[in-house]
Amino acid sequence: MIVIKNVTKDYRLGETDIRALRGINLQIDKGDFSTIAGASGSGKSTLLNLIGCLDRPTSGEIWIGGTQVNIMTERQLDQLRLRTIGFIFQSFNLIPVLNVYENVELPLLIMKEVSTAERKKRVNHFIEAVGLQDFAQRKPSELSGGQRQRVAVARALVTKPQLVLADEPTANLDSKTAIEIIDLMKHIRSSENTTFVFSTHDPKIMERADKVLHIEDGVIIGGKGD
Amino acid sequence: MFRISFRNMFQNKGRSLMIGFFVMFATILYIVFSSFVSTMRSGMEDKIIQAVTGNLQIRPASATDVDMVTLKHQADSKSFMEDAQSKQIVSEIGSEDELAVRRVRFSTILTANGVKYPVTLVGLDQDFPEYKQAFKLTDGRYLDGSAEGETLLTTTQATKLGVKVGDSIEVYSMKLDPPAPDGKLKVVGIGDFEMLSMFGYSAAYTQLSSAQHFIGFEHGEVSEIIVYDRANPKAGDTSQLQNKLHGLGITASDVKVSAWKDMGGFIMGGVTLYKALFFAFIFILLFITCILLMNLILMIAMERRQEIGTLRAIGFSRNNIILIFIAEILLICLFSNLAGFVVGSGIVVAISHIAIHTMPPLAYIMGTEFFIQYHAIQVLPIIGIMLGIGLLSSLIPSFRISSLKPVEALKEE
Ligand SMILES: Nc1ncnc2c1ncn2[C@@H]1O[C@H](COP(=O)(O)OP(=O)(O)O)[C@@H](O)[C@H]1O
Ligand SMILES: [Mg+2]
Repeated sequence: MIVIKNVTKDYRLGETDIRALRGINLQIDKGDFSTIAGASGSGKSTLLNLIGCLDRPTSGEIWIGGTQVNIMTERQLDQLRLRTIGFIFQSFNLIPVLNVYENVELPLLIMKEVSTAERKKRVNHFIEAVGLQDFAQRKPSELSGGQRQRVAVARALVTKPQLVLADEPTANLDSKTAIEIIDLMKHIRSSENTTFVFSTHDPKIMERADKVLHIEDGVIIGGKGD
Repeated sequence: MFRISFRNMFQNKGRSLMIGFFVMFATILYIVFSSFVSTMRSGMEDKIIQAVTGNLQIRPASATDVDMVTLKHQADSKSFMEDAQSKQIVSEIGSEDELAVRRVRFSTILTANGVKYPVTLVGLDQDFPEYKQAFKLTDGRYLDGSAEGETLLTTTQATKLGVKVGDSIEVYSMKLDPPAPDGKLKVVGIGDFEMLSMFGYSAAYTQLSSAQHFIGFEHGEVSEIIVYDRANPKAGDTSQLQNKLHGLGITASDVKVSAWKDMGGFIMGGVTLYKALFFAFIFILLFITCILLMNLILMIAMERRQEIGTLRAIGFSRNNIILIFIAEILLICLFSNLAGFVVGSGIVVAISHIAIHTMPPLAYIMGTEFFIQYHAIQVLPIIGIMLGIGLLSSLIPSFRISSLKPVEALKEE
């Protein structure tokens, strides 16, 4: 599903370049439930942003589902993010002025091939799948952190993406809720047959993944699973 | 998709209100100012028609437009109309709604107390109200239509010549070579041409026969006939009059028919000045509005960075973002513009019932008393203009914010 070859990423900070990723090589298979684990500042977000096509690598190749994405145009990347990838963020990133239903519906509004009926069906399906059927009309500000992240999970999945990326999805949640969210993601992964990659620095969370990739100072230093 | 635009507009009420306030304020200013200027312009046109041109002019075929514009009709020019012909025209076309006035008009020199002063002497063949509406007396009375040898002077002329009502002045005759004083006129009234004096309009009215004497028309010839349309004060269509004259057997080879609007030149310069004033004001107003809006909108764009980053991550394209953002601004502009339109129109309509009195020197420009006029059609363009401004000032911010890389937009500060 994901193949990464010799990827580096430099950030320019004033006069100096910071090398956040220093030659990453990895492979994640279809249907995997993997985590990228590492301390703060190790390069987890940088790596996930590159996989999610929110940013471009300084060098190296990134392949998603058999296509090389680091050479695609902006337009193509828009489409890839819309149809192939779903995102879950650390701070939920819901649109505050839209209610739960509308937030989940949002990506479908720009997928012209999804009919109104189909859209309605899918939105309701995923709101139910994350257990928020009674909160559909609530605004994000009226929800708890765990509930908000459930909305984000539903929004990420509603386009039926092949790949869902989550950058520290549990960092803003208490440990009980965090485990609930991870278990929810894991459960949906099996029913929807989606590939999940999330990052964390929490050992209790990483042990729930099938495959753990440890990252330190911008390099992968081994993993367990497979 | 535009649901976000709509909701955002209501979400951040403070910001929306601020933008709305600017747009509304600019709209109100526009409406009040444009009504004011167009009232001035219209008033100026009225005065030009009343004092100088009438609605239509019937002149000898050989007359040039310059004659009218510069007001210099010379005695030695061959451009005059025969007495009989001019009287025939006047009696045939004169009606309840149309007043035809025969005039003699030429440049000459007035002199009194050793001072010479050049003027355009205008001889009128009858007493009629139109010229009195443009020429406001400050002293004395208007011309006696059945007398002769009287004149009306402007305050400037009277001051320069050192005369007052009751005094006599000498007038140069154009039939003498070289021209020299050849008789007197008695000053019966002193006043001012409303709105025209500031443009250097220096005419002195007298009776037709007196003017004929000084220009040297010995057989009742006249310079021109001007026609006032009393039913429609701004009328300027020559075709009807031309047809009428044609019916009398008078063709273009005999007389030339022109309309006040075509007289152009410096008389209309005043009208042009009002237009220029108006456009300069509008330009400045819109420029300031645009800059203010652009800054506000840029602030909104910065506040929305996270949200825009999220939308980009979800798969919204640059264009989607631009559309959503501009739609929000345009909605605000539309609503506040409509509100401003209603309020502005209300203000103008309300004060249009009140006579506004002015004092010199303002009175020279605006007349001593006027009513501001409101025409919806004339202020309607502001709706389009303001939407254009909204669009213009949201373009740069929305392009800037949407061209951030998604990861940059998402970055938390
Ligand atoms: N936009 C940026 N500009 C400069 N340096 C950055 C930027 N983003 C991340 N970095 C640096 O890159 C390294 C990796 O950061 P990041 O990928 O955010 O780590 P993590 O998500 O594991 O905490 C850090 O040293 C961080 O300071
Ligand atoms: Mg991070």
